[in-house]
Amino acid sequence: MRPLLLAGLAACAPGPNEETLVAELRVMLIVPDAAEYAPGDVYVTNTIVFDPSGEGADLLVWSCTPTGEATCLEDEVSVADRARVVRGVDTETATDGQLSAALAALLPAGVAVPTTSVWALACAPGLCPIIDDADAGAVDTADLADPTRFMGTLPMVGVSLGRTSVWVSDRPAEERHQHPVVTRVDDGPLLGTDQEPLALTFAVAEDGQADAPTAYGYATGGGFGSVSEDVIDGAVSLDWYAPAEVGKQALLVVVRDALGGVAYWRDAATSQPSPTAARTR
Amino acid sequence: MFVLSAITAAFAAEPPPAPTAEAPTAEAPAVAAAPRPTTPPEVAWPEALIAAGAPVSVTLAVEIDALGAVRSAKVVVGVDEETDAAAVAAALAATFTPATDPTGTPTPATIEWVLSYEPPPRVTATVVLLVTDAAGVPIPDAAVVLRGDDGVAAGGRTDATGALTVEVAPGSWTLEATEGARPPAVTALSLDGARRTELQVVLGEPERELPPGEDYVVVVEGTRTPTDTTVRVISVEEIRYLPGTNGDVVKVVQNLPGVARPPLGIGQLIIRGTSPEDSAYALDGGSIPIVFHFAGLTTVMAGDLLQEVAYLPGGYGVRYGRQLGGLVDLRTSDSLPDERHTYVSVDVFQAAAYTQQKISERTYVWGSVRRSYIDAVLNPILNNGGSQFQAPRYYDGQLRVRTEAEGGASFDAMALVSDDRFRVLGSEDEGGEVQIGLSTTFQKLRLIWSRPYGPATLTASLIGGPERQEFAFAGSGEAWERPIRGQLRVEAERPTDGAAVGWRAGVDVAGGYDQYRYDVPGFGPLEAGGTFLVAPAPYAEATLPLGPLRVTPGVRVDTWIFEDGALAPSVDPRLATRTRLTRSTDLIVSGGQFSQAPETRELLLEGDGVPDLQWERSIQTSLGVKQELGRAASVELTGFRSDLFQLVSGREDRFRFFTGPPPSGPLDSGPYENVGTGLVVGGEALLRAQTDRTVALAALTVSRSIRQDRPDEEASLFEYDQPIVFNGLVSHELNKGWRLGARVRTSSGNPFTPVVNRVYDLDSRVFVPVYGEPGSARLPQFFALDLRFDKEWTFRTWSLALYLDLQNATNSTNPEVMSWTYDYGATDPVDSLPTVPAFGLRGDW
Repeated sequence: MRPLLLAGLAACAPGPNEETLVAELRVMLIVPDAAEYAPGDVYVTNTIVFDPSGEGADLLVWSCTPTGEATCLEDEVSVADRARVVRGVDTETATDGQLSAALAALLPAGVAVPTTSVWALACAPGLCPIIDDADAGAVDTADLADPTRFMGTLPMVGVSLGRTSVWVSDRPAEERHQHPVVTRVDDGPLLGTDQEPLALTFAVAEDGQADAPTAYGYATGGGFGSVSEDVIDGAVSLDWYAPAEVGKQALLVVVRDALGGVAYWRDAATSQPSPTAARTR
Repeated sequence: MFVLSAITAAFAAEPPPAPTAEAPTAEAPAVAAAPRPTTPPEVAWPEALIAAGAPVSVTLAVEIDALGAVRSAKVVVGVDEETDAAAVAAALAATFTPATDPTGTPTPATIEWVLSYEPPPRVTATVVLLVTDAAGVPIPDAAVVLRGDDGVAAGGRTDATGALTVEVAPGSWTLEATEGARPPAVTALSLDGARRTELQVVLGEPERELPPGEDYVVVVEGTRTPTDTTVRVISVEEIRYLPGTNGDVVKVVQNLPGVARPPLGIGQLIIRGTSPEDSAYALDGGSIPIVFHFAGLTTVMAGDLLQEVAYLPGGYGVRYGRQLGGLVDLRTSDSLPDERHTYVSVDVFQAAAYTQQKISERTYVWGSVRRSYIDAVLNPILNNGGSQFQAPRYYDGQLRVRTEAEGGASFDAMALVSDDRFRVLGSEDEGGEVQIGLSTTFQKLRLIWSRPYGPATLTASLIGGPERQEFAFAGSGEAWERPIRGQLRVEAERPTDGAAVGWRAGVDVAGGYDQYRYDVPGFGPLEAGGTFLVAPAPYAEATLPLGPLRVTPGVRVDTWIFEDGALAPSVDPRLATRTRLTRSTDLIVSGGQFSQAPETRELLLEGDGVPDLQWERSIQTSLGVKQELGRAASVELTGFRSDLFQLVSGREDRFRFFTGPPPSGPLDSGPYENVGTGLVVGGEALLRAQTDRTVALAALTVSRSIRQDRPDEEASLFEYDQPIVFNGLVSHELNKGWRLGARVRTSSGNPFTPVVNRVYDLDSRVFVPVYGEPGSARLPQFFALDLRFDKEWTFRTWSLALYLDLQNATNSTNPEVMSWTYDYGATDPVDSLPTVPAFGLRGDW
């Protein structure tokens, strides 16, 4: 009963939703360069990391197509060739990978399915021995198939593991689903206060294969007013509440559909003192 | 035990018999003023003299010196040696004012002193006693003794009609009635009037052996309802005032040994390390789906309808089966009350009304209704916009008729309904659609026919009706179970009596139609199905009296037949022994096999069921000692062990109507298999003390309960494993209708599986926890102090009671269920209730 009551009360209170605030190192997004691939394709993913500490994170990115027996189809490839390590990641970094050609025998005809997981482990420098092991090509492949095996040995603070799906089909390239495209409509300055939310309006273009996508945002300060908003008629608006503290805040808005299509917009916004606070001073 | 059905009389004020002394006469002519005793003589008149009831006098020659001391006393005119000696002794112990001569000077003197015994005046009050058994059958030749505070006794034996007339003086008396092996009935009478009194004393049956495993029986013993006598009794009068029970007779079971504290006070019973779903509830031996309303606030039927609440934690006899855990059997009275009774009560949660009315000489009717109004209070407060929160509400009602024939046959019918509902509705703009809804209802009809055949009794009972449990979620999901269940029992029983062998044999047939539907997003694919089922179970047991040893072997054969198949018959042998080591010490040993059928959804092919599943089983053993500590206290120590095997594992990711918080930690989503095992070991201690004004109860349970869901998994702690559970209750009656009570509860926190890290699933934007070792963390120790204050006003024709029950008086913060923030970055436990004051009024007439 209590959670229900709290949920009901929270729904009535205007202000930032706590789930949209990122206050510690977190893998925010893994975006493949295509919404849909064919077996054996080489792909590139952009991994976006928020690190409010500003220290720069060590990043390990790998893929795994689970076989159901705690192994991956990619196990036939050496760890050095399938696991990418990037040091000192600030916000965004790109890594490459290759889908297993063996997927061709497993796919249903003419339909895209999320066959493969791309994992990204971000750690504060020195916290994750597995990144050093990966750098040396000495990771147990069972850990790559089931990352929960090593996550239990890592601290919660300063460590973030994210996962996303890569969609694969046997369809010709021209029929494959495409990522949506998101564009901020209002080009006004990204200035906000904790008294009045800043409305961010976006236009979303899509290929029509998926149902209407949803949009959601994250911020390293303040937060967005809702956990997500539906994209309606190619448009969506999100309210960002700036924190009371003055400073620069990273914003990330993601548009995602149900077929692996994803697009994002990110920028830095400035939180300003509220007029009331300014008058008080 | 006994019940005084009509205590209306009093006795005329009459002091205890006392000796008298005539004024002494001085012999010496020089004495101007005769000596006079400074205090009345205290003569210990012989009992034979008192019993004879005739007046006598002893004349003494008493020599008194100038200081008033008695120098000698000689019998001048005596009665008999014993009487004369008593008079002389009293005279020698007496002191006098000395005699004086004409000048006023003290002087020795010898006086003649007459000490007389005057029997008490003839009794001015007549007490007509009728001694009967619980069924009202007169008991001839019962011995009745009334003892006054001064040791005077009166009494006699009842005649062929069970009647006895006793004449006693007013004052305080203790009445004791005995007959053969029946337990004595003892009561204190304070009588302050002088008139004819008719008094019924009901003697219980010869102390019966508790059925195997029936460790505790709560006897609802009202002043208005005759009851039989049972060992291990807690009367309803005591329960009514125990803190934390709100006067609910069934809730007291939650304080007994072997019962772990349910999280959030959900009101379910976690008995001897088993799940709430593994324990069963019954009404007169027939299954009912629940025993408590939402949050365990109160029982689903009026406590005044009950005569006993039998708590069977394990190792019980063959009469019961089909579950691995314990059983609570609500038992209505098996006799007619002696008078009408009605009450109306209101408290912060509910209003209730109850009545029992005499229809004819041998027919009574009972009725009870109750409805909560939490919703009426909370809904306007909570619903100030947005969703409409519908606070839990419940109601129940019972209608009962019992009639008894001349030969002892009886017929008893009861209809009962219970309805619990809790909902969150969408806003009116959205049409008020149910966002979250949960309801539990049942309607049952219970019939019992019973007839004695010599020393044996044949009983046939039937209970049946629809049950319904429903869950609705935001218009996108629903789940319900709507079984129509019935249970028929035909049983013959002959209690053991002295050296005679006792036995019990019967058949217990459960059956009906089970149907279900689980369609809730996130909980696996849709499951829906239904099946007819029948589960006959013949059983028999004998009780063999072997001197101080009672041996009760028995066997029960359970079968379970459903449309897709049947479980192989389960032959469950059981054995119980009770040895009277001394007059106050009993040793109780029990052991046996218990079987429980898988749930219907686990058996049916329509979902993920596996028709080849077999019974879940346990082997239960226990060893206990009960020691009486005088008349006012007793202590019971019991050790128990339960080995569980063939437990059904799998599909933990599917929707279930949990009676507690949903399971946390990694879920076993594999297929159903009889591969789970478990072990429960523990010890229980119950100390009970009771005086005229105070009742105290202390229960300690020490146990360990572990499970291994699959052979290749590590064993882990059972989710409700509580190694130490302690409950201490005391209630003390003050003067002028005041009563105070306190309860202390402390128990180990439940184990939980910690979250050691998390994975952020970017597609669904959900943090997926990474769990540590199952059950490797534990919630903090629970502690709560409950207080209760009662005040009762008694008027000529009715009484009014007011109470304040203060739960968690110290406002302790007790984490009940472990929860986490949305990103599993921090724990966010759900705490128990803060201080909750509950008050109520009840009027009886």
